[in-house]
Amino acid sequence: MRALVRRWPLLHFLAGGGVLFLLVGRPATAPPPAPLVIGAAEVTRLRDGYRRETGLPPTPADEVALIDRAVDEELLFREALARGLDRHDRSVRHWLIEQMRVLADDPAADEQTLYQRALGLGLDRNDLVVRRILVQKMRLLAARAGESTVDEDELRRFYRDHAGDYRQPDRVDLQQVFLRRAHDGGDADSAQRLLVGLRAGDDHTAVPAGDAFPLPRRLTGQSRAQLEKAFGAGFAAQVMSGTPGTWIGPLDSPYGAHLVRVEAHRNGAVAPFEAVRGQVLERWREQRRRERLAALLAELRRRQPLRVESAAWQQRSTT
Amino acid sequence: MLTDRLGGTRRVVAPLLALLCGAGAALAQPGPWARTETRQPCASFDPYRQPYFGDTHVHTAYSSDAVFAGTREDPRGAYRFAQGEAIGLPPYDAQGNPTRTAQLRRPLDFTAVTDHAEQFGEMQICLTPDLPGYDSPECVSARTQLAAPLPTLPSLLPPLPVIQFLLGYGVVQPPTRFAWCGTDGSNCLAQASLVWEDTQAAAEQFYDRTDACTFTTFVAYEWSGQPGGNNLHRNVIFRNATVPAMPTSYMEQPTPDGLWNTLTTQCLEDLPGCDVLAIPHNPNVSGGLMFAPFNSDGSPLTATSAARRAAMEPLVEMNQHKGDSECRPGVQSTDELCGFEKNNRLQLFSPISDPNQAFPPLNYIRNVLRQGLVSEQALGVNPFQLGLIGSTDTHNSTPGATEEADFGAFGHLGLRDGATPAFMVQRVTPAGIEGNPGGLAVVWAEENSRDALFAAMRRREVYATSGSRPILRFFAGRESGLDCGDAEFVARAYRDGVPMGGTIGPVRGARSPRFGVLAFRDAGTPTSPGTPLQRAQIVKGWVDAQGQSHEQVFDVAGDPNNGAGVDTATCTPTGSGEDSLCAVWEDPEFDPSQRAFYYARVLENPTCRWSTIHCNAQGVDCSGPVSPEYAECCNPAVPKTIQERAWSSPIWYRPEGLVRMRGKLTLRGAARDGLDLELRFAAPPAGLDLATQALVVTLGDDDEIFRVTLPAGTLQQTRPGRWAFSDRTGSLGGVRSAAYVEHGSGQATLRLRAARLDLGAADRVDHFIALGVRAGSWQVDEAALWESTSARLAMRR
Repeated sequence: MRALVRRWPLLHFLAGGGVLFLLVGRPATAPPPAPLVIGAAEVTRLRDGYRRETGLPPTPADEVALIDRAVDEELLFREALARGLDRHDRSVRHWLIEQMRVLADDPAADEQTLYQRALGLGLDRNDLVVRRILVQKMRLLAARAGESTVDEDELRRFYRDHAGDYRQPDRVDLQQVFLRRAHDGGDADSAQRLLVGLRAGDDHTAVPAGDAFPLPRRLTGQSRAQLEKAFGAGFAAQVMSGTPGTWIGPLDSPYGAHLVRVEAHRNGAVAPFEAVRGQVLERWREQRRRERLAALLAELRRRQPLRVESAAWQQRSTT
Repeated sequence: MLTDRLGGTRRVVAPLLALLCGAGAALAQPGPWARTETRQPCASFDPYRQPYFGDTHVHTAYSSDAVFAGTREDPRGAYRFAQGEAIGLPPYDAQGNPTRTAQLRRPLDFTAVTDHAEQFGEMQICLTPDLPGYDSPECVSARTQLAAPLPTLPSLLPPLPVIQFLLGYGVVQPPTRFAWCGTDGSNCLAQASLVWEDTQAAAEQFYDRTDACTFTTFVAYEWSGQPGGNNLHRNVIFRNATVPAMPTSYMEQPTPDGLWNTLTTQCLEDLPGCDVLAIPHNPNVSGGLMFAPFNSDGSPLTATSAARRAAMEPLVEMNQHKGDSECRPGVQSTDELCGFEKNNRLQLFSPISDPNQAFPPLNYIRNVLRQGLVSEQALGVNPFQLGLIGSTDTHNSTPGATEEADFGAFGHLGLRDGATPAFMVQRVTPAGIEGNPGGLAVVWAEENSRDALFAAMRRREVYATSGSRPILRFFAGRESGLDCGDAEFVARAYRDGVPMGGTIGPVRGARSPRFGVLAFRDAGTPTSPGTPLQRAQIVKGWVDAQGQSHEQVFDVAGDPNNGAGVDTATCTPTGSGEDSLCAVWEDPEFDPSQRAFYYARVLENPTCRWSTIHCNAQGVDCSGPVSPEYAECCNPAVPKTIQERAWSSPIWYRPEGLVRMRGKLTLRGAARDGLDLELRFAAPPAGLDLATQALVVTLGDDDEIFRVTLPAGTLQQTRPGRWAFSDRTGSLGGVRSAAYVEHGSGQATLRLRAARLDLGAADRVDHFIALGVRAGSWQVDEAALWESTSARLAMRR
């Protein structure tokens, strides 16, 4: 099964969505619902809003996007009500009480009474604010359902599928002798002499010569990017291609001249899962949230016939 | 040789340890800090530390004043930008595509995103249709502002909606949330918790926990109190991913003391693994109140409150896009180089920009450092022992965007400064012609990880730059063998002294301590070539016997008259400068009885200021007619050139401080280890009273090596000036003897011997070990180099 899922990501996706749906969804039991209507007036309202907010007329593509968003929100709102998300919600309750306090004009009424009266009037069904609270809640719930438990196998699979993104750069360890650039220009000779001496010597660890330098003399685990930042591109390129064990130079940097011995060159490997788990988890979560929400919306659309009075939308839906 | 021993050990140990991953995994060479998180140790690790460049002050679309200026990139965008990717800037077109993009010429090593925590929830509500409050007048006017066509000219002040958002949330006391936030702000806080959660998730997503250590993020936010219009803002930076459930903003705690209280309880005390510090910024518009020498309730500082303050705030932001805060000519200073990138307003939103106003002295950090000495004279504790960093304060989600050449095109404030090229050079606040691209925070750390960087910030081994990237080392101490011709300069300086951020006593008797300054030019890149150095200076501040503070600036290397300049018509540099500068310096006016601080300032050759580059690019020619919108380009009061610079954190000299320090760990194993410590002070430490104070001594590298608490009264006075404790059984943490003696010379010695210990946590390599000694508000923190020989680790300084 696992192999099958790996092979067919879409199957995986659908199966995941299905499981999610079984877990958190509530299948419709009623007869086929009446179509959700986005009438011409509503489309005009959406277009006007867009124009107000951006100062630009919406293109047909914009119109389709606006309608899709409106449909999604209506579907999510209905689903939230179907799941009873409006009950026991502190924000909804608070909002309804505040609204009812204004409407009832009864300063003595306690919160429970006001809340019950608001429910009695159906404020929870047609209030815009309640609607938005519930849509946001539904979105979060759908996107994050089951998120508290992380399937480590799935996470590792995701990591393997994106292994290239976690490949580490090549790195070198190096030792260097720094020589200030003398104003009299006489440093080329002394650098050469020193290089000859270093190459002749067999003790590669004792390097007494050189001028004061603010960075460590032995640098470990340096990537090309790090070396470029600290010493310039030319220096970095020569060091990255240097043969381990040989003194090379003098290499110019913006600071002066360097004699360098690459001690080790390690090719970058894919970082172990444990070291990137946090990054993988965030990426995977982001992707899973998008998938879960898309799966829920797809399912809601499958169950809910739509009627949209927009030529642009019709055209998109038929192509 | 030192490095050889280190290297030899490392070759054997490193490959084994590289396989380990996790909290508690020892380092090949441990830093003087504990690993508090699960991650791989870095492949690039050096006990003598490397400079990491970053930004600890960054706003994204999660800040009200950024999103209302059109910024759409959230913390993820900021981290992507810091890593070198291009991101979008407003204005955005109808399809949501940015019409401008920005990209760093050089990526950063670390970044902390610090959005204003006050309005996390309010922002979400205003931008999420129909959430309670979405239709409030405040949100409507804010969105209207967002949707409005671009104004043709910028306004002096931010748009009304932005001010509306700031007032109750930062200026008015007590702070008040909008009514639509509901009872106790519950609606807004519910939304805010989602933003805080996402801020943390973004930091996690971009933090490199592999041994490549390419990039470090910090979970952070800004506490944005500005009571009465006086800026008291602080960036709150957490050490790792263990952070409180909600940020503490001005809404919860409208005073700095309140902020520190909550951070102490919510993080330091009640949340295991949590660690935090706060970095104040822009004292230059604080009305002198950011570093006033009193507590938030107006009571005078005490030794305890000063110590708490110093512990919570080891750093200050030296410079950023709203100006440089080092010093100001005429305000306790005659240093002509103080006139650098000055904001000439008394408050951020003051309409008056005039360099000849009465600026409070404590608006400037050099004066604050001087005040710290004065306070210490009275209290025995320095409340303002501040290390120095720079940052941007960008509101474009563009950390590290400090290039003068890019600032004219990008700005830092969305459409507030970047709507059109002409906007950039208007006289608006807090941006426009008076603004600048801000600076960078540079941290000397063993590796690029959160723990290493945070520990360096704690010990103030950091420096500030005005945006370029010179490399700056600064040491002080006995430093007997220090020599600029010595390739071992850095290792020697560490062994015999302290780095920037540290504290010394009269280590050479009545003679001046020796100071080492080593500055290397910004290496640059092909697209950002860097500028040679002009000179290095040491800035000294001290307090005399009458309690008056003074300052003096010494040129120690390079040449102020090197003739280098820049052609402001083409911005081509002329003349030459230095690739590196080095000096070993002694203070010719040293007085061992005067407490003092010293910091290094390194100046580059002059280059074009951003405004000159920008005005040139717009074709402005001041010799002919200039359109009114570019008039500021030709205002003689606006400098045409700048000298980019770096400021080291100070090193403090305390007359009563450490003269000598010796330590020895004898490592026999099998619970037979021994400890011998001796600290000699030039004078009895002020505030030390062993009859009423417990004495706590700790030693630690990446693990705690030793800790003992000798309860108050354990040391008994045996004769005048001598307190002693001896216990053959070692029942108090193995301590056999402890003594505190005040000598006839006026000096004092603290000595501690312990035996039959298990010091197995001490790594047997040359490395830095942090020694802590505490009694009451008095404390010594010294991370010194301990050298390893056969069965012994020893330190002598």
